[in-house]
Amino acid sequence: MTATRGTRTAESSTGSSSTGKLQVVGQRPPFGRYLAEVWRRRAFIVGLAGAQLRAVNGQDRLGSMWLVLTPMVNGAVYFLIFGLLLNTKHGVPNFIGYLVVGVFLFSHMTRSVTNGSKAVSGNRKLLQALAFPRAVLPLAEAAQQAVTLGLTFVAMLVFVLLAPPLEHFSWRWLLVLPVLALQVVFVGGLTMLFARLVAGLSDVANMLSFGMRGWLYMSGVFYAPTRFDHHPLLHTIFELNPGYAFLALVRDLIIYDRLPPGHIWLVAAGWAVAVAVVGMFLFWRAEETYARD
Amino acid sequence: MTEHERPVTVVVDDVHVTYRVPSEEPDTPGSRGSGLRKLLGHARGHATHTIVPALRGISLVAHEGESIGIVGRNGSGKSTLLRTIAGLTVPTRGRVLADGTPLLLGVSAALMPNLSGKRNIILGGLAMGLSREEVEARFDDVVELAGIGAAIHRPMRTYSSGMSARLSFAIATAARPHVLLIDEALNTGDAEFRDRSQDRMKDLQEHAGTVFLVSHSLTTVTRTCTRALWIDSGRLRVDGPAYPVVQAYREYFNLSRAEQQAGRPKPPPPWEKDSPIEMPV
Repeated sequence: MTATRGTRTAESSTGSSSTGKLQVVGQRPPFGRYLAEVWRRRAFIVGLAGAQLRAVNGQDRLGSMWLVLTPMVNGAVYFLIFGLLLNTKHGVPNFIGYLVVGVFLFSHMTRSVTNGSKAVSGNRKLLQALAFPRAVLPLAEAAQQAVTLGLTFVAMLVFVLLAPPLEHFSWRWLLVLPVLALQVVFVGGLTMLFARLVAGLSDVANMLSFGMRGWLYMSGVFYAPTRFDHHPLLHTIFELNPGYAFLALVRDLIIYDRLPPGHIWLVAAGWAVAVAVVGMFLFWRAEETYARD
Repeated sequence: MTEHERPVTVVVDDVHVTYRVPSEEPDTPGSRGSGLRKLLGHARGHATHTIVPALRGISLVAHEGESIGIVGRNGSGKSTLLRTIAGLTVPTRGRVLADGTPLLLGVSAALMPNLSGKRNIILGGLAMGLSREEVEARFDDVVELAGIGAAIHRPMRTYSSGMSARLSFAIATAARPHVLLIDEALNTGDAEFRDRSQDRMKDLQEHAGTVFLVSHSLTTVTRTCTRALWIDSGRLRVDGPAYPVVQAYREYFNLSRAEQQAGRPKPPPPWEKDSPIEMPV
């Protein structure tokens, strides 16, 4: 037993002891192993998402009703201002159905990005107390928003069925499920991306509401892209916008009862896969930095 | 079998940690200048930063069956060392190797005030990396150790701080990690719970290969630890059997206080004497 002036080195006292099973602590694992670890923690992701859902809906008196009320009220405002006053409803068959689908689907994106961007920065205490793959936090947020999307979508369908002009149930409605799945994957990737950005630079959070508002205006929530028909370049750019693609798919299937064109499916699927992969990868790259203040 | 023949559970290899923190220290560059410039600095947020070295080259090897107390003044780097071993703080230099994933008893951060105690047991268990089956198997144990009766069905925000502490500790003990890190966990709760948790702590130490304990209670360290580390200014000063190390730490600070009261200068710390001190083992 010694008291030393400086420090002693690890080797000198490790001696011949077996260090083979020892692993470096706190180091970011390779991407593949990281994904495996996240998968191993799926029960935690589900548990966290459930706990957050319960907490969010327990706060207000109307609870989860707000998830439906907010897009409804938003839709009413858009209908008055844009649909009637600026007459964007001109030439759009069943404008109310068109608008309601847009508002409900887009509110999932807005909510996910706004809340998800705080998934890391809002949980510093947890990050500083326990070691786990940090992607669990944005993924739990995305899972929570996916459940919310499912519930509000049912409410939206009821509205579309009841509001005139009446829509009829058809087998094409089932194709909505893969569209929603793609949107959940896409938004999950966005959540990871913005969680990472805001964790590194909290100023991004201040810009986010402007960005989301701009994207909403550009995505044809309350107007149809047919107004760009005379301008092919603008029309193409519009159709490449993922925000528009998901809305267009669901509108075709539910409101217009027709199969959406293949290139819109391609745009939606391409964005979903690309953003999910890039989001996960970039999030993983900064894994070690998230616990810092 | 001597300690050094036992399997190694943790190797801390020349670990340095520095923090970059905002500072209002007057003579740091950037804070000087006119009143206007200062005001602009405040509007921008953190005007200046300073680098704080928290650990400055710590090395040690821990073996199975050891309970290691860490003593030192506030700000000496005890908690940073613990967090580095837990993998929560990444060393600026050096590295930590461990057998399995060391677990810091800090589950309270994962608990949610709006959820009932029961739901928090499940959530906390999952947060520490247990599977759903493991959580369910240990559920009754945790409820029993917490011993807060019917309150377990109520939201945690309705708990007194003592009740929250009991539940958090009970949840934390469910993980049974190979390397367990405790930061002042024993200093909460009433006397009855302290006794019960100390029993449980002994139990944990038998389950865990190695326990690290940061405590300001030197008595706790001598009573529960086999070995102690004395950390000062981010350096490992003394490393040895718990009792003599704690004794030396205690004497040094009592001595320096007495000397200061007598108006004499502070004595040099033991490591600044010419030869390394040998402690009786």
